[in-house]
Amino acid sequence: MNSGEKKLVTISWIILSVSLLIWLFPIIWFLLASFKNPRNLYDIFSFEFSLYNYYEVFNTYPIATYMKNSLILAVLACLFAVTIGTLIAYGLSHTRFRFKTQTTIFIFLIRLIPGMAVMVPLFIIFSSLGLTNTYPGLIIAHTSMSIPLVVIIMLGYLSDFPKELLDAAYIDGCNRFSVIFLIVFPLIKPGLAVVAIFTFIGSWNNFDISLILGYMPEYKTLPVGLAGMGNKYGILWHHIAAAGAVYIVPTVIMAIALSKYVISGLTAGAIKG
Amino acid sequence: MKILKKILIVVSTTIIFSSWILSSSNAFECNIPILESSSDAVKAYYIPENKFAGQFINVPKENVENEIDKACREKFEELSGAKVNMIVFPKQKDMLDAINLALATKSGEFDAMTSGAGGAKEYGLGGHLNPLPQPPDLDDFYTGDINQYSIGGELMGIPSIADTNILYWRTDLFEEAGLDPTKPPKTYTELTEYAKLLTIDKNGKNSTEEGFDKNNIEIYGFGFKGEASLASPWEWYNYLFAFGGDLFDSEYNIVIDSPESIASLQWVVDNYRVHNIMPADTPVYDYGAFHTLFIQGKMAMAVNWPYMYGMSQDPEQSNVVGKVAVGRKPMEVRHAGNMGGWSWSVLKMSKKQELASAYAKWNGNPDLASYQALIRGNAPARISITELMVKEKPIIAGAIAKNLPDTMGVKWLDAGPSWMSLEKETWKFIQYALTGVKTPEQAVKDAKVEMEKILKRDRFYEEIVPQLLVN
Amino acid sequence: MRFINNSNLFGATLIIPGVLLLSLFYLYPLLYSLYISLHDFRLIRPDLTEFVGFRNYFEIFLDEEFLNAFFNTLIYVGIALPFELVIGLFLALALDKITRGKNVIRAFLIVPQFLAPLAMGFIWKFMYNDDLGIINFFLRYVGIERPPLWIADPAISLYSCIIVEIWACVPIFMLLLSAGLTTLSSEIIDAAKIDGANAYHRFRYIILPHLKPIILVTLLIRGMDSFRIFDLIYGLTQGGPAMSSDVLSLYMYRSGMLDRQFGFAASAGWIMVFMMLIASYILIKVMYRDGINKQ
Repeated sequence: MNSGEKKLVTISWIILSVSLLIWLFPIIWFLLASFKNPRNLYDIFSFEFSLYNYYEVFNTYPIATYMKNSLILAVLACLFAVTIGTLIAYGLSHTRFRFKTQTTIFIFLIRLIPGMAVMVPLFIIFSSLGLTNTYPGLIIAHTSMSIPLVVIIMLGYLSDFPKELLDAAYIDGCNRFSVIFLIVFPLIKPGLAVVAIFTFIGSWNNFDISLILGYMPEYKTLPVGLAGMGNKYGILWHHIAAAGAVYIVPTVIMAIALSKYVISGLTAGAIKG
Repeated sequence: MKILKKILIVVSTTIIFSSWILSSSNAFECNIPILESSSDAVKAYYIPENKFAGQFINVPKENVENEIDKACREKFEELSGAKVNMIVFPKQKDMLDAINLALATKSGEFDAMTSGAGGAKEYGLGGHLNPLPQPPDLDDFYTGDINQYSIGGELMGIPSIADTNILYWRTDLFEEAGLDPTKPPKTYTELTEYAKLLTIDKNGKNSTEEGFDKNNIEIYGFGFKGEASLASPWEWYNYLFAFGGDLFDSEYNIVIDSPESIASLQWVVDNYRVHNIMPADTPVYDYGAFHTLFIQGKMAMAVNWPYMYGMSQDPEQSNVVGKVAVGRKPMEVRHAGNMGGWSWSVLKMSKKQELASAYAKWNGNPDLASYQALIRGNAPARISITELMVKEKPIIAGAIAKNLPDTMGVKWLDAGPSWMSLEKETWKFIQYALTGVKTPEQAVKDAKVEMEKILKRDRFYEEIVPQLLVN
Repeated sequence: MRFINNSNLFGATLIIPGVLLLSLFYLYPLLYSLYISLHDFRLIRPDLTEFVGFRNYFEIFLDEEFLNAFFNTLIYVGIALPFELVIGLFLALALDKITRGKNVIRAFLIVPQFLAPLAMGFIWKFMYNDDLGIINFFLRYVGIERPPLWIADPAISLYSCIIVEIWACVPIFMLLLSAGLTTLSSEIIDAAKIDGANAYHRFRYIILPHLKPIILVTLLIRGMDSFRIFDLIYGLTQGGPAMSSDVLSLYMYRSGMLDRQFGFAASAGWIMVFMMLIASYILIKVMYRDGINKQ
C-alpha cells in the first residue's frame, strides 16, 4: 500500500469515527437519560442511577404486548414481502410479461400515495371484511405496505444480472423455477439482506396504519403505544426515554446479529461476481 | 454471532418477564359507599341492574386506563353482568379520529364515549348522541358544567371531571425577591410586574436591574404554552376572559377583535417579546415542556390545570417540593377563566342503548367522582365532592374551589363540527402574534375573516345557531 | 426454445398473485380517494356532499396554507436529498476503504433507523430545547452568547427539521450505496490502478457509473418518503411556529381530519402524487441521458 492509499485509509477512519459519534450520540444520550430520575433528567452533569422510569413505564403500559405484536408483525411482513416482492421484481425484469409497464407504474403509484389520503377507504374495506383488530388483517396490511419498496429496490439489483448465467442454466436443463431459487437468489443476497432490513424497520416503525387497523389494546404495536405515553395533556419525557430504550435495545442487538449475515451475503456475492 | 443471539434472547425474556411481574400489582378496589348511602332514586339512576349478562359494549378512551378507571369498570361489570371493552387510544385526537371514522362508516363500533370540554355538545349538535335522562341529584353538579354538555335543555353528557386552571407560584422565589409569599398578584398587570422582579439571570440580577443579561436567564418569571395545538388557545382563554373579552357574543357573532380581546393577546405577546419574562422557546412549548420547566424549578409563576400540583410535590420528579403555592387566578377587568372537564355520553349508533346508557350514567356517580378528585387530583365534578376534597386535600382543593366559580364556557365548542377549525385559526393567530410575524391586531383581524368563512362553509348560522338559541 | 414462448405465462404466475394482493388493499382506496377529490365531500353529512369536478384542484391553489405547505415541502426535499446523497456516498466510500470492523460500524450507523420517526421527533425536540436541551447548552459552553432558537424561531424551524431528516436518512443511503460498492469487483479496480488511474478517475469513471442504478433507486425512494414526511415534523414542531415548518402531509391531515374538508385533502394528495410522478420521470430521464434502459 503506498502512502496515498494509507492517507485515504486514515481519512476514512476519521470520517467514520466522527460519524459514529454524530449518529450514536443522541441514542446514547437518551439511553443514559432513561436511567436517571425524572428530577435529574435535564441536568447534564449529574448521574444518579435509578430505575424509576422503567418501573413507571412497565407499570402503566403493557409493554410486553406491544413488543410481541411489533415483533410478530415485523418478522412476518419481512418474510412475506421479501418473497412476494422479489418474485414480482424478477418477473418484471426477466420475463416477457405483457403488462410490465402498467404493473411498474401501479407499484410506483402505491408507494406515492400518502397515508392520509387512503385512511378512510382503507378502514372501510378492512372493517367490512372483518379484518380490523385481527392478526391476519394486520399482517396483510404490513406486507402490502412493504411490497412496493421491495420491488423497487430489487429491480435495481436484478437489472444488472448477467443473462449468460441464466442461459447456461437453462441449457443445463433447469426449469424456470429452479433457476430462480438455485441461481438468482444466492447471487442477489446483498440486495435481499438490504430489503429484509428495510421491511423489518418499516413494519417496526409503522404508526398510522397500525393505529387505524389495530387500536384494541391486545393488538397495539410499539410505536402506537409510544405515541400514547404521557398524561392527558402532553408527553412525559421520562416515560418516552425508558420506553424508547426498551424499543431500541433488542433491535440493536438484532441489527448487529443480522449485519453479520449481511456481510457474509455480500462477500459471497462479491467472490462469485 | 451465537453469543449475540444468546444475549438477545436473554434481554428479551428479561424484559417480557419483568414487565409481566411488574404489571400484576393492582390493589385498588372500587367501593361505592356514597352511593350505598344515597336515596333510592339516586341508586336507581347510577347503579346498573344485573340483567346484562352476556352482553358487551365497546368504549373508546384516550391516553391510558389507570387503576381507578380499571377497577371501577370491573365493578360495573360485576354489578351488571356485562363486559366493557375499553379501547385505549394514544391521544384524544386519535380517539376522536376513530370515533369519526366509525360514525362515517356507520360501523356501529362504539357504544358509549367520553369526551372533553363541550365534546358532548359537539357530537350532540352533529346528531350522534342520545340524550341522558335528568339525574335526580342534578343540583350536586355545577351549572356551568351541565350547561356546556346540554343542548336545548337535554343533557348530552354527564360530567365526571370538572377542570379549571389555577395559579401556581414559588414561595421561596417570592421571598428572595422581597415579595410576600402569601400574597400572589391580584391582577394580570400586577403579575407582569412581579414576573419582572422574579426573572433572574445567571448573575443573580433580575430583569429590572442594570446589566441584566437576557441571553442567560436562569429563572423565568412566567410562562405560556405557545404550541400550535390546543395548548395555546386554552391557556389564552383565561386571559381573554379576564380582560373582558370573549369569542362569540350572545348572538354568536365573532368578537375576538374587540379591544379587550386584543389587549389580552397584546399582554401575552409583550410578556414574551418586550419584558423577556418567558422562556425563549415559548412558541413551541407544549404541556410537557411547560410543566417540566416548572417542576425543574425554572419558572416562578404559572397558570395551568391542577394536575401540575401533584407532580410538583413528587420528590422523584420535582425540584420544588414544598415550595409551591396555588390559588386563585388574577383578574384584570373581572375574575374569569376557562372551563374544562370530561363527560360521558351515549352514542346513537350503539345497538345496546340500555347498557351503554347504564355505563355512561355509572361514570357520573358520586363515588367515581370522589376517586377522580381525591386520588387523581382532578377538579371535582360535584359540589359535595368539592367539600370533601377541601377537607382532605385543602391546598389543591382550596385553589380549585376558588377558581371554579370564575369559569366561563369556551364558546367555540358551541360551533359543533366547526370547533376544531376555529381552534386551529386561534392557535395560528396566537403564534403569528407571539413570533412577531403579525401584530396582535392584524393577526386577529385576519383570523376573523378566515373564521367567518369557516362558519359560512359549515352553515353554522343557518343550522346550529337556531338550536343553540333555543336554550 | 419452448419455454421462452411461455415467458408471458411464467411472468404472470410470478407477478399476478402479489399484484392481486396489492390491488385488493390499495386499488379501492386509490380510486375512492380520487372520487373524493372530485367532490365537496362531507364525511358525516352526506347530504351536503356534491360533485364539483376539478374545482378542488383549482381552489386549493388559492389556499394560503396549501401554498405555504407546498413550498416548504419542496424546500425540505430539495435540501435534504442532495445532502443525504453526498454524505451517504462519503460514508460508503470511507467504509469501503477500511478492512476491519466494517460490519460493526455499519450496524451501529443503522441504529437510528430503528427509532420510529415519531420518537425521533420527540427526542430531537428535547435536544433542541433552549433551556433544557443539550445542543444549546453545548453552544453556550463554547462561548456562543445567544444560540439559535432551533424550533421556536419561524425563520429556521424548517431547517432544524431538515437537519433531523438528514441525520435520520444518511444511514439508508450509506447502507444501499455500500452494498452497491461491494458488488463492484475488485479486479476492475486493480486493472484501473495498473493503468494509472488515480482515486478521482477511479471514482468518476468506474465507481459512479456502477452505482448509478442504486443512486437512482435510493433517490426515488427517499425522495418519495421525505415528500410525504409526517411523524417527524409532527413530533418536532407540529408544523409551527406560525406555519413555518408546515408540510403537505400535515396540511392534508389537518384539512381532512380537523377541518373535515376531505375533498381538499384528497386533491392535495393527488397533487402530491402527480408531482412525485413528474419528479421521478425527470430524475430517470436525467440519469439515463445516454439512453441505457434500466428499469
